[in-house]
Amino acid sequence: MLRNFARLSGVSSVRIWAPRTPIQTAARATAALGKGPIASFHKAIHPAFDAVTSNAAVSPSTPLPPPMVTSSQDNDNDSRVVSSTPANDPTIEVEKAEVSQTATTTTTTTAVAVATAADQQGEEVEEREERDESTFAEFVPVSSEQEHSLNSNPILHQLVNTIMMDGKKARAQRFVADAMLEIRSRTHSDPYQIVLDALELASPILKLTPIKKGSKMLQVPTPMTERQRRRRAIMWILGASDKRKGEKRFKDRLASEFLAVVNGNSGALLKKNQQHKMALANRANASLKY
Amino acid sequence: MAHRLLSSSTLLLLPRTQPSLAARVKAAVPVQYANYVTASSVVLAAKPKPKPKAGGAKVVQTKGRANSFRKKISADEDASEGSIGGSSRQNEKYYKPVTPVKVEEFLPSTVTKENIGQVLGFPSNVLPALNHTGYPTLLNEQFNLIKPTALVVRESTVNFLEKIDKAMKTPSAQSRLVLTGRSGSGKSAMLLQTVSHCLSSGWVVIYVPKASTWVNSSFAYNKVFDSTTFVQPTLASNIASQINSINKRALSKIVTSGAVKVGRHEIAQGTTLSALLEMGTKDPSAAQDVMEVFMKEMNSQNTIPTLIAVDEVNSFFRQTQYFDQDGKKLDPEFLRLPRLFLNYISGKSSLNHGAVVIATSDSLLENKSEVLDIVLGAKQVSPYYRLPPNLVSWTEGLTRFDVPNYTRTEAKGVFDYYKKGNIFFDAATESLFLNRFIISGGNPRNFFTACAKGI
Repeated sequence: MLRNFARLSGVSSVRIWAPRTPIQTAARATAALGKGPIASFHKAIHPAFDAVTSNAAVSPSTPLPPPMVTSSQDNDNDSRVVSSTPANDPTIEVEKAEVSQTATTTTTTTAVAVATAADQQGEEVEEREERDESTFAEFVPVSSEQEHSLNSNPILHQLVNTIMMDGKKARAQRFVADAMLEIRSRTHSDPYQIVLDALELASPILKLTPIKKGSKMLQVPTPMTERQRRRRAIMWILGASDKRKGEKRFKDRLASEFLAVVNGNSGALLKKNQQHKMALANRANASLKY
Repeated sequence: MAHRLLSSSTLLLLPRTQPSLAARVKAAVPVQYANYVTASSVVLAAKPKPKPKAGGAKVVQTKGRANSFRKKISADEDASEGSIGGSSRQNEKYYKPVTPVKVEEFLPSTVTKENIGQVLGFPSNVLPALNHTGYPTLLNEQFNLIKPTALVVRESTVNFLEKIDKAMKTPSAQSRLVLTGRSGSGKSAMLLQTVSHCLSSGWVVIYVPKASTWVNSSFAYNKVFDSTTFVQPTLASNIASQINSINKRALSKIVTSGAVKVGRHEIAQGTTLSALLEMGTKDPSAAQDVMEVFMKEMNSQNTIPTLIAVDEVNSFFRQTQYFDQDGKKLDPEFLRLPRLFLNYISGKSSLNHGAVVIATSDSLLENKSEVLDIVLGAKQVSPYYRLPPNLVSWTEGLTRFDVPNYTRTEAKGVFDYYKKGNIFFDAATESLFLNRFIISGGNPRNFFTACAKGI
């Protein structure tokens, strides 16, 4: 059970049991030849993880940040292991070599090259460190094409989901894409920036939570998370866009509403200001505990 | 009084009929610069003109009160993005001026095999003409996005225009070409290119971008006395004015061969066709007769070739949305103006020098014509299937020209044009191009959707 938790968290440095004797480690190592899972527990590599990490762009346009390393404990533990089991290096190395052959990432192939070229002891620590860094939950960089994607960009994705009704996601995506195209046609500038600014302008900072104190209902101003704020803004913008007369299609109304927010005259802005005023009026209640 | 106000200035705003922001922008910008809308013109148009005190008709009185103290300025009713609350200011940070992409002109000399894959813009003398008729709906969306209005030169364009050039000296009954192809494969675009080519070559062009509006009962219609046919006066007068404005120079040189009586008017021999059409514009009741006389005159022309270009032509080959006196839906042959054009499409009437180019459209399901699909081979039916005979008779002798999807070079040219037009959110790399090309399968409309909308 505990071992599963350790595996899930992807940290191999967690020592659940007492440090193993060299004989035990050797036995495990030989048993593990050809068996993926046990080796993967030690190394937190799993055939599934390898498949995931190959999503990374092969040649990104912008330089990637260095891969996320969970902790430096790994390196310390591993160096301890190495120093305590000198006799078993060949077997462990064989196991590593075999595992690295099955891996598909470029970093591991470079590691293999390092391993095969170098001598045993000195290079082993380095190679193990490198391999561990790459086989952990790697930072998968978002390629530049995906940043404004309706699926992966969190803000646009939330917008799409909020517009979606009865689970008709493709329809909602079409609406958002068409509205952004409409904004671009009217302003000849980046619609993503306009949508972002409009959502930021229309987002309230505080909401009012009613609590019962004695017999009275009091409104307490409470903070909101980013997602809550954005959702509130989207709901108000959608509500205001429904009131638009003269524009038949939803995408036209939505585009007009975003532009109205950015131009400073939208019903959504009025609602936000109203909510802020109420929060200010009730600011005395903010210190109440409930 | 009112008509004097109307004629005095184009920018005069009447009470209760304030045009929308788009219309005001259009009015503020002269037609020839219509593609170069600047931020300042938008802002200018956004501010409604200050109401002059002299014109008492400018203010609207509140309902039910004759009291002069209760005069209320009519609020800006339309839903422009800057109009809620009355003030229509626009955030200058986001409204940027249009930067047109640098493109060569689409001229007969530039449409060659070397330029396949190049995006060429419509020449400056063709653009005002096309503004009069308008563009097909879905192409309009693309043209609004990137300026200037431009289309890519395709291999099929070069082939098609060669055919048109050969048809210059032959009767139109021999060159009745119909552009077919899948939805979004570029039929309307090819028709537009043909229109532009013929205008640049000096032909007289009659271009109908949306034939479906002629038969979907959006225009008023009257029954002709003592006949089973119906006439659409407003439509006829609109068409007359469009033809006149596109071909003014060419038509002012052609004169009528004999004296005719058109409605209440007598047309003397030797009046220019341009004047004839102007008369039809002013008097809708005579417009249909004017059109028929005009087409008859063009039949006998030997100097200038004529092109009849009709888009969404499948709506002419099915029942219209109009009703006859018995409450049954009318066939298009009973409407005089569509019938006039059907005569040329079917070859029953013929221009001495000219061509008839028509294009089908899959835009609206209600315009789909089963007969045309079967005749052109797009739909297979059993030989025993009975086709309505009156519709089939109009479809004889059409030459089919298939419009394929983009080839790789053509798609790359279009992609570069979109890239310069700055519609991509991120880096427009080769891998993005491949991605979009493959997703869309080369289909032009899907390619545009994938590039511009990312879906």
